[in-house]
Amino acid sequence: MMPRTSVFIIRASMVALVAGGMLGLVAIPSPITIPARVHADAMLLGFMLPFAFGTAAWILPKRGKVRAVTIPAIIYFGGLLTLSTSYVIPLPSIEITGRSVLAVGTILFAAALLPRVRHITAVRRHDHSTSPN
Amino acid sequence: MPLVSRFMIKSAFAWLLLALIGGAAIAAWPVPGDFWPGAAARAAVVHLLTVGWLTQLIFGVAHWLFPRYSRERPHGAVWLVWTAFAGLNLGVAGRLLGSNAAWGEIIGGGLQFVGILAITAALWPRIRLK
Repeated sequence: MMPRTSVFIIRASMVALVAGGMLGLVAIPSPITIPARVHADAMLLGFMLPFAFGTAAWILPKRGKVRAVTIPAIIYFGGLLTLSTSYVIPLPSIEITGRSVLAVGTILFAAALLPRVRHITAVRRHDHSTSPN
Repeated sequence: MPLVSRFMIKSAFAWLLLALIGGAAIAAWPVPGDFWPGAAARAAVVHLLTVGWLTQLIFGVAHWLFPRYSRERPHGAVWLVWTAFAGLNLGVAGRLLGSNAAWGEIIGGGLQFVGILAITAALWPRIRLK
């Protein structure tokens, strides 16, 4: 079963994919109005990273203590919204804040997901140690 | 693994190989010629990597692994995934072959966008709690 947070993260990433694709299409005839980095940020930071995080949160082994990814997701998308705001209001401070918050969100995602990346024998050992027999 | 997923994953590896060859070609001939202008060539190689390789690999695996659509049709609207496969591959090829012309960017970009819309429509109903 896909967790609620993964559903939200993956759907949001698909929205960013469509938006990023549209920006890329518009950027071809008018590269000055929409710089390539806006299209690249939408695709890489809006689509690829959250899609990978959402799928990993769903599919990585869940045995043992599992840390929720809700707070990392809120922080990450907060950073993404701030970064998006910097394209409308071009102030360096907004862009720096957005990218910094994105980095914090990414670190929190990694901290939540990395303990779940382990060999199958470790998962089985944990199952044996917690089983009633 | 569904047939379209196998096609997508194998095509993704083919684009990766071409992207690496393209990257090496740009490094070997840094001064752009008439056939392949520098900035446009770089943009085409970036799209080989990000669309041809990464995006296609992601969606090939997602179509295979995501929760099933229904018991009768576990992979949902498969024709949409085939449309995405065609759109993404023809789009990347268009961008590469027409990298020194405006039509290449427009047709290639348009086909890639069709692919994006098709895969979003195919996967969206499968991104759910159950």
